[in-house]
Parts: sequence; C-alpha cells; structure tokens
Amino acid sequence: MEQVMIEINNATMDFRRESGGSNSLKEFVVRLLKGKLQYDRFRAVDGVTAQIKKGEVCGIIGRNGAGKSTLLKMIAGVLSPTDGSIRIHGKIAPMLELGAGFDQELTAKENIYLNGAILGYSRDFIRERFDQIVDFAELREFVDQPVRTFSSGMMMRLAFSIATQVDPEILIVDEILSVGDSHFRQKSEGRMRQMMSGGTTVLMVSHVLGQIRSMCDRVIWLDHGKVVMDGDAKTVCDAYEGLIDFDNAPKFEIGHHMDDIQRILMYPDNWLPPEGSYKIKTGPMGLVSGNLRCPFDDLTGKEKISISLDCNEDEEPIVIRVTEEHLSFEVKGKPDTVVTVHIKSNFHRSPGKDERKLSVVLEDTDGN
Amino acid sequence: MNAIRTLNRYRFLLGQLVARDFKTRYKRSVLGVLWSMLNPLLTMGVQYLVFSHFFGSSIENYAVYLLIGTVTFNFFSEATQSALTAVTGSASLITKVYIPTYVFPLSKVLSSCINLGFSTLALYVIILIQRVPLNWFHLLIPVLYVALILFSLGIGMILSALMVYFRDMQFLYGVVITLWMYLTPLFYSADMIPESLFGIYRLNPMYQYVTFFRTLVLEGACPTPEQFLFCFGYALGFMLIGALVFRAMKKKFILYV
Repeated sequence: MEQVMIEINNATMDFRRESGGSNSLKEFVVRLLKGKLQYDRFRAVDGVTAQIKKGEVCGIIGRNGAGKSTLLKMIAGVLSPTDGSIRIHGKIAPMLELGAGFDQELTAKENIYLNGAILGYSRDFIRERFDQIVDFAELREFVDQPVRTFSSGMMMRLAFSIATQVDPEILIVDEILSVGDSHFRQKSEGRMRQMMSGGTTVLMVSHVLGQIRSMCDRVIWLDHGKVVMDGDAKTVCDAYEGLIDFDNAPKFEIGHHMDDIQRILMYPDNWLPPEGSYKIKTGPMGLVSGNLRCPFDDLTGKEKISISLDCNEDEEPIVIRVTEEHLSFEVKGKPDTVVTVHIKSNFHRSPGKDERKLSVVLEDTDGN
Repeated sequence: MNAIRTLNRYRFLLGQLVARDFKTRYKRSVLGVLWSMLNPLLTMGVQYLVFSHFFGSSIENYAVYLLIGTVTFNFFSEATQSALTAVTGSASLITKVYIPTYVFPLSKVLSSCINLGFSTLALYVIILIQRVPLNWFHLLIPVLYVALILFSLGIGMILSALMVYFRDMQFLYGVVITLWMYLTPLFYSADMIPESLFGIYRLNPMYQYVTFFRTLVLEGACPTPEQFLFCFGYALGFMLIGALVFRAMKKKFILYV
C-alpha cells in the first residue's frame, strides 16, 4: 500500500478583486453605507483533486495565471483554501520563493541565520550547515559583506543554498531551478536530484518543460485553475506541447446552465465522463485509467459506476478495478491498442434542489 | 495556549527578527547604538530647555520628572507605531512562507524593548547626576515594564491588524499619538488638571504608567494597590483584546496585505 503524502480534495481558492478598491477607511465606510461593498470574485484554483503518493515526483505545468503557484501556496499552508481541503502527511519544505526576507543591509552571514529562521531551521542546524551553505553558494570571500552589494545571481545562489539544506519528506519547488549561470544551474539541478532521490515526495512548478520531462514521473496540467490532465510526464507534456491531436479526441460536456457547462477533453489519463462509450488508446504500458470528478457535492453515497469494455484485439486479459469512493478505474490491455470503454452510472440529482441534471453530450469522434 | 506553544517553536525566528531590527536600525550611522541612549536624552534636553521655565519651579527634580515621562511614552509610541506596520511591512514574507503572523508585531514590540533598556540607562545617568536618592522601590521598575510592554503589545496587535484593512490607520494613529502625548503629564504636572476633569483624566493608561514610575523613583514610595490594579488591569485587558482582535482578523490578512 503506497502512502499518500498530499491529499488535495476539491481545493478551491477565490481571491477578491475589489471593484474600485476600498483600502481606506473613508471609502470603506462610504461604500458600506451605500451598500456597495461588492467584490468581484476571481477563482484562481477551481476544484482541484489529486493525491500525491510517497516518492512521487510530480510536476505542475500550465500557462501564466493557471493557478500553479496558488496551488503550491495552498499546499505550503500560506493560503488556506476557500473551499475543499488539503491534507499533508509528513514534514514539508516549501521552496516557494528564494531569499524570502533577505535584508539588504545585513551581511551574508546574518542573512543566512535570518533566512534560515524564516524557513524554520533551528540555530544549531544552521550553525552546523553554515560552511556547507557558504561553500555551495561559492561566496566564502563575501560572507561579511552586506547583501546589498551582491549581484542578483550571488543573492539567488545564497538563497538556493540555504533553502536546499533540509531533507524533507515533501518538497515543494516553485520555479527555482533556473538560478545563476549554467555552472551553478547544473550544480543546483544535481542538488535537487540528490534531494529527490531519497524517497522524497516532490511537487514542482516549472516552465522549462525539459526539466519537467527529465525529473518528474507524473505531471498535472492546470488551466484556469482546473486540472486539464493528470498523468505520466511524457503523455501530459506531449499533450501540453500540442503533440496530441485534440481535435480528434472525444469531448464531453457536463451541466445544464451555460455557466455550468464544462467542456472537458478526454485523455487517456484524465477524468472519465459519467456515462457513454469512449474509444481510448492505451498507453505504452497498455494501461488505461480514469478518475471521475463529480461536479456535484451533494452525493447520497449510493452512486454507482459500472464499466465494461470492448477490445479490438481481445487476446489480452483485462483487469477492471472500480473503487467506489474515488470513482476510479484501471484497465490493462495491450499497449497501443484502441479500447472502447462503456460507462454507466446511476448518478442523479434530488429533484427540486435545483434544475441541474447530469447530462453527457458526446461529441462524435467519427465525424458523423 | 496554542500561540504559546508555537511561540516556543518560533523563538529563534523571533530572536532573528529582533536582531535584524537592532542591527539595521543604526547601520551606517556614525554613533550607532549610542543613539538609543542619546535620543531620549536629547529629547529630554530640548523639552527641559523649553518647559523648565514654565513648570520647572513647581516640580521637584524636573529633569528626572521629564525624562521618566519621555522614556515611558517614547517606548509606548515607538512600540505601537512600529507594530502598526509590522504585518503590512512583512507582506512579502507572509505571502510566501508560513509564519504565524503574530510573530511580526511581537518582534517589533520586543525590538522597542531593547531601546527601552538603553533609555533606562540614560535615565539612571540623569538620576545619578541630579542626585535623586536611590531606594529599594526601584526594584519594582521591571514589574512596571512588564505591564507597560503587555499594554503596548495589546495596542500594537490591534493596530497591526486594523492596518491591514485600513491603510489610513498609520496617518490617523500619528494624530492620535500626538493627542495622547499631550493628555499625558509628561512635561507638566497632573495637578494642573481641574478637579472636575481629573476623574476622566486619570483613566488614561499612560497617565497610570508614568505616575507609577514617578512614585517609585521620585517619591521613593510604593504605589497604591489602586495604581497596581490600574496598571495591570490595562495591561492584561488590552493584551486580551489585542489577541482576540488579532486572531479574528488574521485569517484574511493574506488576501489584503
């Protein structure tokens, strides 16, 4: 049984975008009296569900503003989700920002202690690792210089060196691998690999897809706060880079109201729509698996999902595993073959609550 | 309770933050840390020059009288004003690392305590020069300081939390603190307050702290139980209110800082 280290359960983060801004008392009171204290809501992360297991190196990709950093901040405990929950099982070391709290006036040495304290190190720990930090950053001669005299590269080297002293169970890394010149970048990548090798669970954000491909075994792709795709690094990165032909992939919609309709592309590793038949190509391992994320939160617990399969070449045995709690399934077939998955579910909504019904609109894959 | 347990965990960080404030405060100034002593002395000197003509003759040991007021009120004003911007000033940290936010106003008040120590030294220099007799009641000064610090921390927590939501606080509080200073008998004698107003006048917590201090040093007497009650009542009361306000408001800090 693999241990789950991070449980992200329908995590949602709303930010308030003030319409007009009421950062002053007078405005606030005036607007309060007028009853105009309204905020636009901006949903940065929208119902993300994922479980990260022990030892997994999981990358998060997506365009700017997709909600990657917000998600990491929630996992790091800096932000608390507006809705949903995030549970962490283990010692976590968030490296969200390098050099948080560096004081320009203080010397490198003083900043090592200050920044270390901010990262939660103890005095003894810093004292013990002090030489290592300085040597790794290659700043031995500048230890007693105030950091305001440092170049930005020197500053980042120092910060990276301080941040990577821990041996955490869970490591959260936000875009920090591209630090310094190519010599130091190699060194820092080596250090990261070393940290990752000891069974550490890693969650990293990077825009350098090459890094993601080479370091991660799993990738989650976010767009507009939602999970677009969650699967093995190659598949997701290929998809992200447009190497998968999405136009010919099956799509489905859920929901009734316009606001509600989600168009979700079907990927080999992605959510499974609740009902219908899908042609899915198996991956290189011959595996097809899926997760259903139910758009409603008031389930009765009696929902069932059943899956049956048609295989084009049905020589291979097929294993189906349906876990009811997670509504996930896994199919093993021949690598690179097309499997048709029929899904039936008895999902329905209690009438009267609202008019939404679960409906599935399948787009024709054959072009008819 | 929880706050006290986490306090132990973040003690080292707190120490580092206070050390940073202390180190950066006078960095690149020639006299450096000496300013911590010179500052209250010079302020007192200026006030002495101006006010000794008016009040000097009616108040005994006017220099010490004045300096006790300056030291006490300066600490309060410095602690609360630096606590005021403690949370907003640490925005870059709060949004990036998980640190319990109360650490920031607390570190600012503690930083001011270092200054209080230095200005107390300055006070003793003047006490010795003026030959004000020393007495055993001086030993109660640390007790007074504990109450004063708790009171300032309570006010500081309230201010720092309000500041996150209303940036006007810093300008508003600047006015408030000036008014407060004039309402506290720092350079004049409380005897000048008309009898009819004195009942309200003495409710001023800073009046209580300053008077308590002067009772110890200038009168060489033990403060009355009523004075103790006022000093600690205000300290614990505002500390409690501050902690509650801060706790209620801190949840959404991150969305506003």
